[in-house]
Amino acid sequence: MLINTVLLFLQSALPMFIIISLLLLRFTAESKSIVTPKNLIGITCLAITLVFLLNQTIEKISQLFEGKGTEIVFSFGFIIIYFCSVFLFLLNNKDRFIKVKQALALVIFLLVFSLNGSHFMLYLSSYWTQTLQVESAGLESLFIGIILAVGICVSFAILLYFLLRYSDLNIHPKTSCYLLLFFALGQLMQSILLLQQVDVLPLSYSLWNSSNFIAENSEFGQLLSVLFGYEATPSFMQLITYLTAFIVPVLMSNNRHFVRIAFGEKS
Amino acid sequence: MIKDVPKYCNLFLLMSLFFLCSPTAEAKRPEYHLALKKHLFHPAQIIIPANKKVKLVILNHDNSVEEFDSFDLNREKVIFPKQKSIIFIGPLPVGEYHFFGEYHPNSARGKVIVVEINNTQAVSPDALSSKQGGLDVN
Repeated sequence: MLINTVLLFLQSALPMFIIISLLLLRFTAESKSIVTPKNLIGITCLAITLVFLLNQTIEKISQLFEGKGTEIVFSFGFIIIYFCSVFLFLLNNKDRFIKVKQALALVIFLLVFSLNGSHFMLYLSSYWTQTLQVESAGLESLFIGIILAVGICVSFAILLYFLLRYSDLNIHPKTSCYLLLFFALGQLMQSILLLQQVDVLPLSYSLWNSSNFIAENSEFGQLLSVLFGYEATPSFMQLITYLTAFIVPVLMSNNRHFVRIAFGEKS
Repeated sequence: MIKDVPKYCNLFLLMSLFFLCSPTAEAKRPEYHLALKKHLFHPAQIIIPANKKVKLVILNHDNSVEEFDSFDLNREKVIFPKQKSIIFIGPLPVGEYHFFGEYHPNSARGKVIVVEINNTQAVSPDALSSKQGGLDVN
């Protein structure tokens, strides 16, 4: 149960810690101190409240739309994360629109936190209820598992933050920006999977199977899945969506004409 | 501003609409049933035809939440107590695809066996379930 707790927590919590690192980089890179202790506490409390709310209502949500409620609601959330991340990516070099960027970052953080956090809360509440009925020793492994997983996530997030900060300053100024876009692509891929799972989007054959090289259920595969939206068995739709969802924002950000029109600058 | 949006942006929007509006014939999918009792899947293995999309109905008879998870099938779904959940899988090539209950991975385990069915043979779930050795709860 210890290993299972660690793996489940990693699966749910890693995206939350990674998005914190990525969003912090968006704002510290511009030397605007938006992340204050007061803001952090407020935002964290709001996020935890959302997680609890979602956890309480998820059973009813699952019964909506003829049993497809969870998939439709969650995929909608992932799609919003993607679009907010794209806007944040496009607004990268702008010293204006600070309030807009703050709002986008807040939405991304709250959605990532609540969608992933509710998943782990379900496991936690279910395991807690069962363990209390049977034995107390199981709770020990639960807490130890959570502590271990938090340690792994925090370590990785800090490492990622400083690595990307170094890369932004010394290698390429938009490294963290692109990683945010890749993270958003990963969320979009999840939404497609969910919609295919309930037949809202058409199912199709997998184009290839790279499980022999990088298995999706391995630790490295999970990490690639969160960071880049890695799929060992992607369908044609996933591939086309991934490429389009990456190329279009990149082309838009490099198109000076579009940038001027979009941000109301005189040509 | 709309007329100044680059053409590739319009293409992206068109492709998104195309995929979202693609028809899916859910009603005609063959249906297979899986029951979850005391953290065990019944039947432990399900035989489905190759290259066909199928509907998997999972009924949780237990009083606790379980999560149907399968890396082979690329599917993950939470199943609440005394409720049923629906997952669509396929089309799959011939082979074995493992699944498990994420909250009880040591006990709740099973696999989907995909077999080639000739056009002349019956493709109905009843015909295939008669080949299954396990307990089939419908």
